[in-house]
Amino acid sequence: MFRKKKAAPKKGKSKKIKSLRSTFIKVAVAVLVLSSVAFIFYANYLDKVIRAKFDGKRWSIPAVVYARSLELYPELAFTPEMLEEELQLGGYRKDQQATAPGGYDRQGNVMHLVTRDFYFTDGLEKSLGVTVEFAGRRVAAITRTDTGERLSLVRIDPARIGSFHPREHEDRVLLKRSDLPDLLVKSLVAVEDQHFYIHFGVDPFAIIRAMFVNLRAGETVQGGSTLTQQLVKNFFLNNRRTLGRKINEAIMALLLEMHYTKDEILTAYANEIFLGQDGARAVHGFGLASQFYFRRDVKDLSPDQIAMLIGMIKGPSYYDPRRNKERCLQRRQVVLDMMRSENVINEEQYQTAKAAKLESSDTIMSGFNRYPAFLELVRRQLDRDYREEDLTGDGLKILTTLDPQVQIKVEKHLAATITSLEKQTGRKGLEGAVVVSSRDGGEILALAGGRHPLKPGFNRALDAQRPIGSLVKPAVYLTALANGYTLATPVDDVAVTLTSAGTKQWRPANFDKKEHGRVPLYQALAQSYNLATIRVGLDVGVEKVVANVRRMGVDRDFSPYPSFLLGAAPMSPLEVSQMFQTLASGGFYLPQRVIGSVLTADNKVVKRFGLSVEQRFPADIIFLLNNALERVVSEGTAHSLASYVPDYIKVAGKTGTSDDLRDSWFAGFTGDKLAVVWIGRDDNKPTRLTGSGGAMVVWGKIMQSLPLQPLELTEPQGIEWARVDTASLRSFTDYFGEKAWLPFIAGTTPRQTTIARQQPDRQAAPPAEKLRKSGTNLWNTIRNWFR
Amino acid sequence: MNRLGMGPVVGAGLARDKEKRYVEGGRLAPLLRFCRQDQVDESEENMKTANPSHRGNPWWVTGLLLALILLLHGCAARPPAGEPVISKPPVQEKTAASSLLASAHQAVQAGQFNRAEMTLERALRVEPRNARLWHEMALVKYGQGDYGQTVQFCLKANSLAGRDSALIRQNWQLMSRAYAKMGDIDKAEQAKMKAEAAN
Repeated sequence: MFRKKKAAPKKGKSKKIKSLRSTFIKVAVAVLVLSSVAFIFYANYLDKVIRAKFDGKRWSIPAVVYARSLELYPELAFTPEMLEEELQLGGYRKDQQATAPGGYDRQGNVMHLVTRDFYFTDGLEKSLGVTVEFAGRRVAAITRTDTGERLSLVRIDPARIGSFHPREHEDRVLLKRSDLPDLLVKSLVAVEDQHFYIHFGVDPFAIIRAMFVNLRAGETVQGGSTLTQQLVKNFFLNNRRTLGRKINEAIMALLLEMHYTKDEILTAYANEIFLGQDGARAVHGFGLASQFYFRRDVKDLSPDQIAMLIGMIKGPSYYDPRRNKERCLQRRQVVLDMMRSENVINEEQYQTAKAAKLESSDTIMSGFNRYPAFLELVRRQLDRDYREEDLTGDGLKILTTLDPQVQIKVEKHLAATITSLEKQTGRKGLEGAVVVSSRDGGEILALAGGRHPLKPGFNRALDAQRPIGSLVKPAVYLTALANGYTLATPVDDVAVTLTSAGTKQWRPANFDKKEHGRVPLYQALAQSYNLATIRVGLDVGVEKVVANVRRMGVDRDFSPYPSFLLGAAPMSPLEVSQMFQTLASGGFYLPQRVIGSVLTADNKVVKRFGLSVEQRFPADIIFLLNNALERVVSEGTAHSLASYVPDYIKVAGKTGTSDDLRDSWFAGFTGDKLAVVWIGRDDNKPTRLTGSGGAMVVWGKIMQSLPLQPLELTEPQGIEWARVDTASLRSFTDYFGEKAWLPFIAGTTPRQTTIARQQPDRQAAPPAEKLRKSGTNLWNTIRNWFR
Repeated sequence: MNRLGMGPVVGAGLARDKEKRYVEGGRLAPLLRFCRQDQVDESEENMKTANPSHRGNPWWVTGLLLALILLLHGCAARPPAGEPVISKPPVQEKTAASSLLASAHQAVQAGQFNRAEMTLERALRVEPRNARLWHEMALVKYGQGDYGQTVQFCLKANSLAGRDSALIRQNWQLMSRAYAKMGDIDKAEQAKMKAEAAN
């Protein structure tokens, strides 16, 4: 025991010093402890942030959207050019051998291609090498390239048309560690972070070396950031390069290394690194970049391509191969030098790579999400049926109904025609929207939300609510036909004045400001007479017309005012399309579909949107109405459609013009397609275009550029044809001198008519003459006996 | 040996081509089938799936002659001696729609109605106005227990059937069964009557 007799402490000064020192120590310790605690809390916070971001990113794979799969069969109207376009869209590569999946080769009218494995809703369609021969703008034959066996059908894997993160608007082609080629990994480390596998997140040697190099050069030439630090920077993508930020990043890099392995960090880096801008969309990750710049998978990249991508890391816009070719090339050579000096590539590879040309701009896929308007509709349908949480789930595959052939033509002709219409009217500011669907399937084949497809913003096809004008008339006449009218019933196209309590009198007028007197019903529709329509509509009752419009598939409430009969009610082009779909399909309501099915990343079916129909109108009445709609085109307001679409197609359609020519509409269908076009101005000012002068022209040009199928209206049972006598009507001469053979429901044929003994050939003269013709041909008659 | 004691056709390869011709032509086919029961199998297959686009070919003169011979002598299975073989391009064994239909039938037989439905949808994209395909879809819906849609698809098939009264009858019969399953006896009866009336 140590005991020291202390001198009695001197009171006063020494005590003070000691207490001061101990206080100071206590405070220092307290501060140290507090700041350590604070630091720990802060680090913990950063840790949470990084974990949330990292884990979140790792597991949320975007949904991939595909167009419809192309099915080729003999006799299909398809050209080699169309097939080539389709394959290029799908990322197929021209390859003279055409042996690997995803390769194709064209020799004139013969195409060789090797399809890629794809899991459809009904199972795996294995990769197949096929040869397709074309003749006369059709597929002539399809054979297996290896055996020569003839095939009746080949289903090609669908093209990717986009992907979306339901929460964010970024694209990825996510890679696993095993997807990263060795050369890429080695080069990345060699060029960007030599000590990647050794350091713990930050590389002090690299920083020091960079400092020296930069001081010597007088500017920032080298960066000392590790891949981990760069990853952190990419995660948070902010531009403030303050010291504070740098410290934050350093801490986070350390934390990252603590939680995750080198491989995980490397993989995340390979998927996150920003490698360019494509319009409004950012290209992140090597997976997407190799598709975007080279149209190939990352595992197929050559050394010079890898070098180019790595070179771009330092500045994707600065080294953009599209805009700054020289710089990009130079940077690539520098990277190749480094790859050589670190022995990642040998001398031979080095020389070949250095000599390689830079990829041409054509290869670069512009607009990876190429059809944003269509994609918007896909998202909405998904949103309607799924919660957001379900959608973030791993890599959903969405198989849609988009037909790229149709979409391409729609976009092209909408833009071109609007431009020429602007020149014609001398005023700018026109916009448009188009919806194309299959006639009997109701599948949306193409959608245009505006004249500039890649411009983000207002999707007019879905959201522009515009008065439909005369497009409502088919519904009015449909109601009339269902309430005792026939196509020949005389209706009065004379002035009508409407009064309702509390409002001014309404005196509607025809487009040409004339009255046309007594006309047969079909003519009132074909010529789009307003006065006759109002009289008919009021006679059957506006409520009935409204009910029928709803019955046709428009899910809206409308006030049953007389103005409804002239189309004052607003609808979107998509709603109009649904409405006319019921007519095109023969009276069957066909909910329009844009998604075929949704699969999980491992190809299990999440949901399938199957075909469904519901008869909403009797077939015979629809037959009569569609007949009248054919006359709109053959002799009515749409007769100038013949400049674009030949007569024998027998399009059924309707022009629409709203008040003051603010909206120009055309809705029409052929044998296999229904299309609705709207032209107007966003500021709602008059366009100076009628339906036939604006929208119909776009419609005609689009259809003209696609394979056309003639419209055949299948005649239901119980229809009689008759030629209507003129005596009962004031003026009854068709514009082009054709005899008006009209269909009637059996028993409703008016008196004073000649009833045909059989359905007349619509192109030829009445039956009597036809029999006379065949009577002179003995052999034909005998042959007929054998039929 | 066939019923009329005529020997088997000599020169199998040659005769097969000619036989194919007559079978394809379709006009003498029912008679030939009647006469050549034991050799009918493959040709019947061809009949079902062949693309009958051979109207208007110039052999009808021979056909006319044969018809006269038939009327006088019963069945004629062998073509007149010395008739040159008119080579024709090989007939498409199956069309896209018919091979998809066959695949759908297989799926139905295996009880895989969803797969059958998907295959029929593909077929309908190829031939959307083919009334039979819509009828087949109605059958699949029936197998899936969706009787409401069975009726609707039958109605759609009828709207495209034109004058094919056999198909129209089949549609009404199927509708009748579907209505019965739904417990709607009145409609089932009406559909039955429509089926009987369809001729």
